[in-house]
Amino acid sequence: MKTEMELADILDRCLEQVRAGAPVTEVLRQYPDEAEQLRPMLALVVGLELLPDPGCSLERALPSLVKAAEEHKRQTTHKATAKTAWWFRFWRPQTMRRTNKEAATVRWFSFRPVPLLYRLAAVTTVMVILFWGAGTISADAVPGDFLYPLKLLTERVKFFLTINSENKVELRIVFSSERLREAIRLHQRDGTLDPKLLQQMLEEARQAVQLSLGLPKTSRELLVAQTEHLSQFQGQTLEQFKQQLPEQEQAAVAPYVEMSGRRAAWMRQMCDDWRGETNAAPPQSNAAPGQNDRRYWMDMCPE
Amino acid sequence: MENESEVAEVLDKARRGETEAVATLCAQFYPKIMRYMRYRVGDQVAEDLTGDVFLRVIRNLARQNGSFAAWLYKIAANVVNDHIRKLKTHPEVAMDENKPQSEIPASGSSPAQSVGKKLDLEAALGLLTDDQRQLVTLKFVQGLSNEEVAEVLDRTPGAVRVLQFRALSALRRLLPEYGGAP
Repeated sequence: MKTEMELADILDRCLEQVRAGAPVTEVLRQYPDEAEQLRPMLALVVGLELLPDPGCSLERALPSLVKAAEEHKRQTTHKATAKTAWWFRFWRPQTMRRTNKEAATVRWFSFRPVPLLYRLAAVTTVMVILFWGAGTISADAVPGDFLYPLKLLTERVKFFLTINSENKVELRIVFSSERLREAIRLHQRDGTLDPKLLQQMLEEARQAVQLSLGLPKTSRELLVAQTEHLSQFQGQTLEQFKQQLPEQEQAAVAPYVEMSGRRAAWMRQMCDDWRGETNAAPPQSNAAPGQNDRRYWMDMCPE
Repeated sequence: MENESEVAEVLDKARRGETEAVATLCAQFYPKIMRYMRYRVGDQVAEDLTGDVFLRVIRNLARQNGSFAAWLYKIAANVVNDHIRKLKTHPEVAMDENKPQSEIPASGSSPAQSVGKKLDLEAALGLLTDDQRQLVTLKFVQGLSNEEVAEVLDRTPGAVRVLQFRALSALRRLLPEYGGAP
């Protein structure tokens, strides 16, 4: 007794032979045990293949073919115009690309899958907006504020994302000014003097000069001159600020005033040297030997 | 346009947007799809559904690969499935004259008894299961190979052979002149 699978295979082989033109009786002779079962099936197949044609006339088919041709024309036109409106294809809802009949079943906001490139662009845009928003919101924060760490983070990210060295120096100059602003604002608001901010002010200015020294001559001169003006301005501002402080706090601010002034003087001297103007005398002080070396003032920050 | 290479040539032209090639394809395959539809859903809706098949074909022509016949019949099978699904979800749409042959109600205890001696081959097809009817239509009415039928039905060629055996056995049982119950 053969299994259904075996019978199915035998039937298929018989069908192939009959289709190839072999007489049914001859085909069945190869399978005498199954012949009785297979004979009516092969006859059925012959009957099926002789089933009448639906009698499809061209007239009846015409409306469907015209509809298909219109669809083809519409599609071809769409392809031709699509090149000039790729952005429109990106956001256009599916309903607009479908026929009215299908549109009814599609929700208006169902977009087609967005390509990876567009997704990346969208994520980048969102990140830029978030970054810009965070920078704006936290711009006035001072140490102790909830948003102050966000402000520092934004500064670091901005510095990290800046590739051009000249822009990096300019950022250092901006950060240095910002530290002084924070120190004054913090004192005005809470009456607290935070020398750490003044240290950071000097450190940012120092790094600005260090970075400038590695740049081409023109940029270097310009940026060191800019830092010199900054240091001079910071020295003057701190001097005014010092006058408003109690005596004890004045002593804490004094080294920063002096150092800003010294640095400004030494930077002016450097610029004059580069320009070949040696007539300007280097700033002298009654500081200990070695302290007249500009590198001493460049590298030193008050503890 | 009988052999595969001729079909492929016309397909290439149709994909490039040549309207004449599209018309040739439609004219060539329209009667075959119409015939398939007639055996699957009946005369009344066959024309509408055949039209839908060709609309889908034109829309997706660029994505077609492999056997065109298998792809075409697969689209046709999907159109029929969508139609049947719609009939189930919106029974008010299903008028008597639109009913596919498969949904002819059996009043007796068995399909053979319900149609009695008047049952002919065409009517017996309507009493097969959907898969069996589809196989018989594709293979014996449309003349597709086992591999093409397997692609349309999403089955292996082995499963197609078994389904073919069962379909022919069922038809045989339904028809007295082929050795079935009188």
